[in-house]
Amino acid sequence: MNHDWKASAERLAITMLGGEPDRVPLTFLASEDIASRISGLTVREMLASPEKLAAVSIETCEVLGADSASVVAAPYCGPYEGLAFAKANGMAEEFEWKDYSAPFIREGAVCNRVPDVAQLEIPDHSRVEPWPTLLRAAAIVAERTGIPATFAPSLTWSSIQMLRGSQAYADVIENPEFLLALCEKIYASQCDYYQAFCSVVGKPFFVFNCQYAFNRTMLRFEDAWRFEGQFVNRFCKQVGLPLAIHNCGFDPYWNEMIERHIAEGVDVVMVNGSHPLDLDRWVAFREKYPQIAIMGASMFVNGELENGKPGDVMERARQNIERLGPFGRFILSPVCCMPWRIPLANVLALREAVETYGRYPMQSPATDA
Amino acid sequence: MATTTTATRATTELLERLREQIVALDRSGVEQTTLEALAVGASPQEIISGGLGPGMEAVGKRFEDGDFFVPELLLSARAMQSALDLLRPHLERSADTSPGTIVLGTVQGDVHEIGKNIVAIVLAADGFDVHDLGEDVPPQQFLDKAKELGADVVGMSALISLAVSKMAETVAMLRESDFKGRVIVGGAALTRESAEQIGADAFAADAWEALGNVRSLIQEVAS
Repeated sequence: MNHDWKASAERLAITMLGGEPDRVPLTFLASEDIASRISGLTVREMLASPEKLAAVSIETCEVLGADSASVVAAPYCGPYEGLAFAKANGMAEEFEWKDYSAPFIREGAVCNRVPDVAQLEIPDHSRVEPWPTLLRAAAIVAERTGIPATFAPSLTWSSIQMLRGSQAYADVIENPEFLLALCEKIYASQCDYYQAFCSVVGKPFFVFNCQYAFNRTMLRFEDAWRFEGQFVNRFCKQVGLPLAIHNCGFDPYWNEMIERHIAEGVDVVMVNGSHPLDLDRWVAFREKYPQIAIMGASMFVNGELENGKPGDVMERARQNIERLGPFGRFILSPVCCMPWRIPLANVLALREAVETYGRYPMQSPATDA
Repeated sequence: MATTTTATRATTELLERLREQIVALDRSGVEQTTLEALAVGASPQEIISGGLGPGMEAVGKRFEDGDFFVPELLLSARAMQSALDLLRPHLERSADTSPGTIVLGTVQGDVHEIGKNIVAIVLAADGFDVHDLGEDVPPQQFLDKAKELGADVVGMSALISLAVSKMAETVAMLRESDFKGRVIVGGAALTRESAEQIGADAFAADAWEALGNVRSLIQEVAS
């Protein structure tokens, strides 16, 4: 397939820097499901070697018409971090592989068997598979496409959920010191992951963190900050990188998160989310934070993409592009990972939408969308 | 007469205390008060409908108001579960006394359990006969259990977006079978719109909406 990765790289870079690209970039959080479907390989077959994983990843991104190129297992590293912890602590059997979808560790299994956090061994990401394969594949993908690899840690709640399970929510009230000790372990592990990433792939441009604790229906903001935000903030300062925030929850504390990070000395360069679905709120966000790129907005994978028709997807994409594209720093992206059942015609409609509606220069934001 | 009045007053006070202890997330207090209520002659149904149920409703209201979050829901549900475990030997459960049979589970590909567990407890507290299949439940297992029990409602939960496909597959399998009941879905991966799109009969954003909708669905099935 003839995919102009150089143009994609320029488009993304210009957009992130606030310039005017040729058109709105299109990115995906391509994961195991969609990659399996496109390649016909099982997840373990994909992970058999860095070369194989890199080839499947590039093929997947090209078929989707994406401007981003990433390893098809990397967008959220929670499951593989869970596996690494399980292996490091002698319980790899708690991990469940699926043929054509993301694998998972049984939530809470690790901490149930190692109840003393001090005894929990931190995985060596340069040695514990599949991390060496993931990292080498990321380096190959970046080298072949010219798109910088994304460093996506799981500080901290996605890892907490993997290691501690739902008990973590009870810990917030009943056992906060345990939870903070677990956060410190996860922090140390993610520092190890960062070192491994830098040595194989190179220093990233930003930290793309999944901040799942910050949802209004889950935790109080102060608890989310205590058990997640402060660790992310500390990490960014330690490695000297700005922050991109992923949150595919229904009601993220976007503004509060950003204000707190900025107040505590960390720049936020991008948000990646699917909610709120109300585009007016994203326009308000854009006006409030003109320097922060928006990747996503109201393009929820379980909406029109999974259940509608290509025309529905085009219409949703048009609304997003026309309301947010004129301001710049906007990347069309369905959020979160795409399920197996999404019709490929719907996915391809996104590419058609950016080609049809996303060309710059654009007129002022439409208000009748 | 005086003895009866005294017992009634004692029961009333204990039920009030139960409500407060559920909201205070006081699990051991709930257990103790439940035992005391049984000891003074309160029936399990009285304890559930007069103490535990209203306590959980108050928790739900605080959640809606943004005063409570998932940790409080989880701990109040656990307190409730402890009380139900104590009451279970005293409950005379039969097809006639249960308003309906519910099969619940988190769909295949997803292992998140909290929301589903809270729904199970709230429905059980309302007298429903709840069969929780757990997490990562394949479509065929939902169908088999629903048919085995003649379930009135199948409830499914999904938190991660990738799992919604399996939920849709399960709904389709139930529809294509001779299952005559209704389907309710919920979880962070769903919206009302997407629930409708995958063919569910109802959506619930939280356990209390699930309770209201299950009651309505049961009436639909019965009529």
